[in-house]
Amino acid sequence: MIQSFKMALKSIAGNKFRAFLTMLGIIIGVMALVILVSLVSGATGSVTDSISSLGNNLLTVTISDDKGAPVKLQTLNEWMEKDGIGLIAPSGETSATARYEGNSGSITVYGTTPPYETINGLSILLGRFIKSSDVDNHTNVVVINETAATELIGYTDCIGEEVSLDGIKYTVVGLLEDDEDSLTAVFGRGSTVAYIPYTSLLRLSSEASSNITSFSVSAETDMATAEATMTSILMDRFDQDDDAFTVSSRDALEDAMSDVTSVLMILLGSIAGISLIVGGIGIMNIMLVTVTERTREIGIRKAIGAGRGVILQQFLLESVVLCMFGCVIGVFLSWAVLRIISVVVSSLSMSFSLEWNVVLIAVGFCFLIGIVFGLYPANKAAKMAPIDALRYDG
Amino acid sequence: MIDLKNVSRIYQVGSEKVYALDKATLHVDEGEFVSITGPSGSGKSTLMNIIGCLDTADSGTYLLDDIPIEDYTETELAKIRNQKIGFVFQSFNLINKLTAAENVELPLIYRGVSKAERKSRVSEALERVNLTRWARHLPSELSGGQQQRVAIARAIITKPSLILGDEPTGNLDSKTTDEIIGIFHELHDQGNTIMLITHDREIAEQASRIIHILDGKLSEVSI
Repeated sequence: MIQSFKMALKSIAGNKFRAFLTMLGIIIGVMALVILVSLVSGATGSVTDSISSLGNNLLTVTISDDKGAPVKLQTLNEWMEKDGIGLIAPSGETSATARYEGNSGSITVYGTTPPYETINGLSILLGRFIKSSDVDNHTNVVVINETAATELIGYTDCIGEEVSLDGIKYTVVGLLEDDEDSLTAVFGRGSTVAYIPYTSLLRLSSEASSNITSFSVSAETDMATAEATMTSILMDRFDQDDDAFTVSSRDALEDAMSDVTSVLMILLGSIAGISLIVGGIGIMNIMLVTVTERTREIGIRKAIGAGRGVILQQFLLESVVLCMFGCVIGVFLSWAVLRIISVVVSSLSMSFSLEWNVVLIAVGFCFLIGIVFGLYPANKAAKMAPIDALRYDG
Repeated sequence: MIDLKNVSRIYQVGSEKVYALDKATLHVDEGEFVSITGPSGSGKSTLMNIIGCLDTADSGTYLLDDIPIEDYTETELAKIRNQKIGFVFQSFNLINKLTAAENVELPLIYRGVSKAERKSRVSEALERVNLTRWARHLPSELSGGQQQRVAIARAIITKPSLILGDEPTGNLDSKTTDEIIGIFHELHDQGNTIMLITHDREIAEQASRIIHILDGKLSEVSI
């Protein structure tokens, strides 16, 4: 066995360029497999991390058909009293042009109520969040995030400043910390955000309506109870039609995310697998050439006492060694490429590292390919009749 | 030790059957030096291949050291070749990628001999053919005569019962021919059984027996 291994190395070393070309198929296949899967899993990892960091403590409800029984602010207040439900806050969204002295820019404006701060875990740096009196009195107050403050006003110590949103003047009452880990931070970095009372939003945007279509809910005790209670309330309200609304939790989002990424991984993995098989065909091709070229050598070895098994082992080992060399080079290059990608996109807070389980799969797969595609040529060598092989002049 | 009885080997050439060996019967005792002569295509090589267990007969029986060869599978024949027969071919048949020493070592590897023993036997065999200082050279760096001496070392390293030479001097000049034949005589003197195929009458006549073969039929030539 050790001898066969040495012979295999010798034979590969004797034809370095050809061996390299043959291995190239395997190298590319392994790189495709390892890099693609590592990239997907790195990206997924950072996205699911940010989803998880939001905590699993809120439900998002969207109503698509109110069946003539619209949900009002008052309705939400009633629902907050139900067992199992914690806080509820509506969220209406629009986009507006913000102006401050000479500066202007577009800003995403959310209309909501005080519980929103707690439900979404916002943290106030300066001032306060929206109060219930602001909602009741339709006050023109606004809470903006750090990005909005620096981009629009130029500094963050901006409580009491007046900004205009689509021409309506609002007084800044609070400054929010930029949420580095939030979902919006992952998908749209550095976005400018403003929160105003829900009632004020109705005056700002014609899209917003006193009929609430989207709100978030926190749980009194646990999410499952909250979700069940909320669902049953909505079912009762909307004629038992579960198409009229959706209740989604972060869990569901995470599940969906992991479904998508596992499908993506399987897809990319199979494509890479196919390129590995193509590499394997290259190995088989070159092994067949090698066997023909070395017919005489096979004859000599048989004449001096090599049985079929020995010859089979020798050529099989050669093909496996070729594959494994390609695999090792491929893994090494994948590692290098992933390092480069990590450095290039380091601003994206995503980390791409070699996925060791994928490396193991790649190694196993290469070994298998070496055996499967080496078997036919090796068997052809082993079955040669010694006199025919000795007589061969190539 | 070699006992051929009515051995035939038939090749199908087109629609015709060609008797490469036609009911050949031959007995060779241990320690003999037999040469086989005959024109090209007479069946010399077929006879050598069958005696060397590289090929099997279509009919008849062949006993090598009382072993009935036709009963064995290819892998078992490989083992018998390894243990009982040393080949020396006209075209040397060394493996080009291996050094002289590695070529000589190969039969012992197939036999499963330990590394230490292999090493000492290789240097012994190379010394016997006077090639110790060429041990690390590749066949392409050696002259024809030297390559044939490597082949002889490879043939004798397993201490075979029979050394088969298939025109071992066919590719060599007369000076090296004498050298190689000299080695065969030495091996014979040391008690080895030797069979030589040769075109060269002079070499044939140095043997203790000459077998002539024509159209697959054997006949003994008296010296």
